[in-house]
Amino acid sequence: MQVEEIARKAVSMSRRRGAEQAEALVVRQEEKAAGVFKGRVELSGASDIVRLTLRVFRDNRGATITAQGPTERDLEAMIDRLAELSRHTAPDKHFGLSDPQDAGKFAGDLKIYDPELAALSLQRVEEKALEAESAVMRQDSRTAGLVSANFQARAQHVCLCNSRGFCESYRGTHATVSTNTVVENQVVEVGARDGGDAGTERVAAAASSTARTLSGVNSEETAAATIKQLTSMKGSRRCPSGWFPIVFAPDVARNLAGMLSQLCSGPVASSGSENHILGKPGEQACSPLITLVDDAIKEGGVGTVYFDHEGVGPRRTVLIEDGVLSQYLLNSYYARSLDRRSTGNAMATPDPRFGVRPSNLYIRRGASSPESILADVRQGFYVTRFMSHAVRVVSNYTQAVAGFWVEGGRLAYPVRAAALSIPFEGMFKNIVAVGDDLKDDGPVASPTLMMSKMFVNPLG
Amino acid sequence: MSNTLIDRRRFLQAGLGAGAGLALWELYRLGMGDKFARAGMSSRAFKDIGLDEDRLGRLVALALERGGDYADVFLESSMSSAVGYDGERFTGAGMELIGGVAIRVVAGDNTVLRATGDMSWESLTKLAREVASAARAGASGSASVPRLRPLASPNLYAVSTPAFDEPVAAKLDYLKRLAAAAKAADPSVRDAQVNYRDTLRLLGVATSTGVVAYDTCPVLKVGVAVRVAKEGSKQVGSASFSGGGHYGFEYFREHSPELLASRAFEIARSQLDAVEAPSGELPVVLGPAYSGVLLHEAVGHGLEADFNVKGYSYYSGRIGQQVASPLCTIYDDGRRPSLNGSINFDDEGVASSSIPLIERGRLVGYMHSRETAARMKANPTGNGRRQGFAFPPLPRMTNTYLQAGDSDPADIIRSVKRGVYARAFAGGSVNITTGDFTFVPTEAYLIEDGRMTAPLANVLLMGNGPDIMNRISMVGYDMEISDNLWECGKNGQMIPVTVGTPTVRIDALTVGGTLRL
Repeated sequence: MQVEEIARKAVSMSRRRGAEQAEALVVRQEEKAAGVFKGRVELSGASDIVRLTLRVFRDNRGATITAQGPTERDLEAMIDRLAELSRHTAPDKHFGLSDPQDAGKFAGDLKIYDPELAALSLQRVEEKALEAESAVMRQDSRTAGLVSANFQARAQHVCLCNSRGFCESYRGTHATVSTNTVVENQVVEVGARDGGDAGTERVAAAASSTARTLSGVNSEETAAATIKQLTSMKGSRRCPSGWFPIVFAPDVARNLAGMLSQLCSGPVASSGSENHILGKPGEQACSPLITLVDDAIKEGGVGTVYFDHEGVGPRRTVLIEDGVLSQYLLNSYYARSLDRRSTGNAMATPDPRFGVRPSNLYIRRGASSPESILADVRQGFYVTRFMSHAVRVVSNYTQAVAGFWVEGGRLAYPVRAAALSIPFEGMFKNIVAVGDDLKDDGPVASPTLMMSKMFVNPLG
Repeated sequence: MSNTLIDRRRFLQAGLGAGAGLALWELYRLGMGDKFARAGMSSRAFKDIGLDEDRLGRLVALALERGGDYADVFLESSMSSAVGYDGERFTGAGMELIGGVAIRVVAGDNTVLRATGDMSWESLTKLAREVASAARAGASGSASVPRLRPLASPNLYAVSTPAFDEPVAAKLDYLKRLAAAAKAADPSVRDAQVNYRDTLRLLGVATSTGVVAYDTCPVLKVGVAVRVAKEGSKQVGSASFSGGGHYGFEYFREHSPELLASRAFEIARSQLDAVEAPSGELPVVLGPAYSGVLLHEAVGHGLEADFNVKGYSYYSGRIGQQVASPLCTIYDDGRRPSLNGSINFDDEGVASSSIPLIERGRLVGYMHSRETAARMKANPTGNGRRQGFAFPPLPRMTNTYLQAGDSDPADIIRSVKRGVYARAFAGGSVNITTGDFTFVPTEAYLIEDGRMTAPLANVLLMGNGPDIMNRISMVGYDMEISDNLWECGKNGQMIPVTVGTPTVRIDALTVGGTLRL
């Protein structure tokens, strides 16, 4: 069965079995992947999976079914069973399909489908993985023998139909290349612990890149990014402890952009919890240097969509402008609960309220070059890698990082591990510089960012 | 919800005509109502959609028709129902049904895997032939397929009352009581949210080693999250606890709502009065049970054989070497009844086992899948696990724990003049190559003059796994397996695991992240 047929049948079946409204999202994903090690293909895999997310609404109650390859009888049984469960849930006036005026599919060509990538043979996928592996070894002979690489090609056919008559579909592709390596570095001074023999330090590095087209992923660049991490930790040392300015390289600053987007998401805004630290639209949420944008219609963007998971048309949304919160990231449920309109960021979840997610998120580039930002740091930390997930306990944000100690505006030496902490509430108001080096290379991007101070505690 | 069983004949007609999902659905009802049928429920489900042992053997043979060392067929059909309770109302009712098949051939170091959600015979024979064509069998051998024989494995999931068939009202009543118990725990509790999910996984594996194994795996998860705040203070705390495992509804009879609520509340409450933590290298005492997650991350992952095949792990090539304090003996034990990480057999048809990884500080073994075992000329250990049918099996932990020592836990705390006691953790991460790890305790206390005093805020523990294992100077006799549900992520695959440890003293560990504005 084609995706549209499945979606239409699921909606009509739901209506026949008592749903007042129904909406079916069907995604067929064909994936080919290869992993290589030491010049040989270790794993080559392929899958072809059809996944249905069906939302049904009745008496202001919502319920969700997710299923892979269901038959009609499966669906009938599940819908009936779910009806019994959902009768016990509370009515909520915010449940329901997206508003008709918001529904729609983007009309132009967003350049997210590459026929060549969709048709890529598994043999070519394996060759691409081997190319990435050899690129690492070619760029740095120390890596010979301890490199692995993966290449993944995905083609999706996405269809959404609802009981109001909306039924649209689109196709998209993704290619991802990743490389990993481990080397023994000869070092003058070892950090907290020596992982190898005396005078050496084992260092691991990894990098990956994702694009919508085959030509969009570059093995050489991914290999170079991997190698850069290897050399950067050579001769790591312990840094001072205390309050210092912190500069985040773009690859880690993107995590802060992601965190900001969560803080201005509908679920957080409507929860009334202490997580909602950005205030209300129109209020100063963070440093005036920050403008945060979600662009769902970026041509060729990794997160670009023709419509979101409830059929709302995509758009470019400025979430924070010059530090002022201007818009929440919303789906229809949270838009209604906050008396606003959906921003087209619905994400299907088992919870019938659905979640929200950014599409292509970025912090707008600033005026300072990364060199000039670093030059202003008398003593501080330049963060190039996050070593843990960001964790909030009680009122603080804490993050384990690796990077460089900065002395007199220059990178003095690498630091293999340190903990950074700051009170969460004022964290984003402490950003004092934004770089002009925004890289347009992922679903979440940021230029270099600098915080006026965080507490640094080195490992060891 | 009705418990009435459907007529067997009517079921067969429906099931044969409808495919895997319906067979699962109805068989569950049929099988769970009949203790005799329950043992064979999974095999019957797959047979009823045309995937009997003969056909599974034919698929394995087809996959190997162009050669190869090993092949297997993995079948999965799982169904879940879920609901949430926000303290005032039930929200988010949902159901999930997942089914599919993966066929794999291993030839030398090369593995070819194909997965599909289409469980029809035509689709699967086509898939098996594709796998055979893609495999780099060549000179790498050509395993023949012996007659499939059932795998002898224990039943670690002794479910007496299946959660799925309990009346909805009974489940919801428990959730209400759980939220009420959390709110009643203390006036500081601002809100309590509860979530519930029951799952039944039907699994089948047929291998070219002649094994066929079926499993019916129930999973129950009930989580509670509490938020606490002090009147007139900005200080807040929050914590969550997820209980369950391979249980039926009897879990609720054996675990009172008050007990589950107290697990989350105690952690959150400790944060309310927390003071800033000291900084620097200090003795750290890890409390029993939950602290096992540190062991899991800092040591366990480095002992998974795929990292060692490639030489990526700190522990690569160190079998037989002293890698930890002689007080340390670490096991991975997939055979503990009902635990979240327990498995009757792994996803490659190898019976689960209890294997020593480190004995008295000496590295004695890695956790293996069939593939890594073959490459390292070792025996599979029953650790080949996958998130679902579409994922390749990897060496993964099950229930990993540090064996009890002989110290009195109170003596361990008394031995520390100034240090940190950590009991619960938000999570952590580890660099497999160097062994460096970071952990954030969500419940930690200052130890002063051998006594636990103030709860601590904003503690980050940083160290090196192999290093701290050599700094363990006392191990308590109070080994406890965590009753929290844990999920472990690796290569994009999440699987259920369990951790455990007795009270442990680490002589020096970096305590960091402290700040005061």
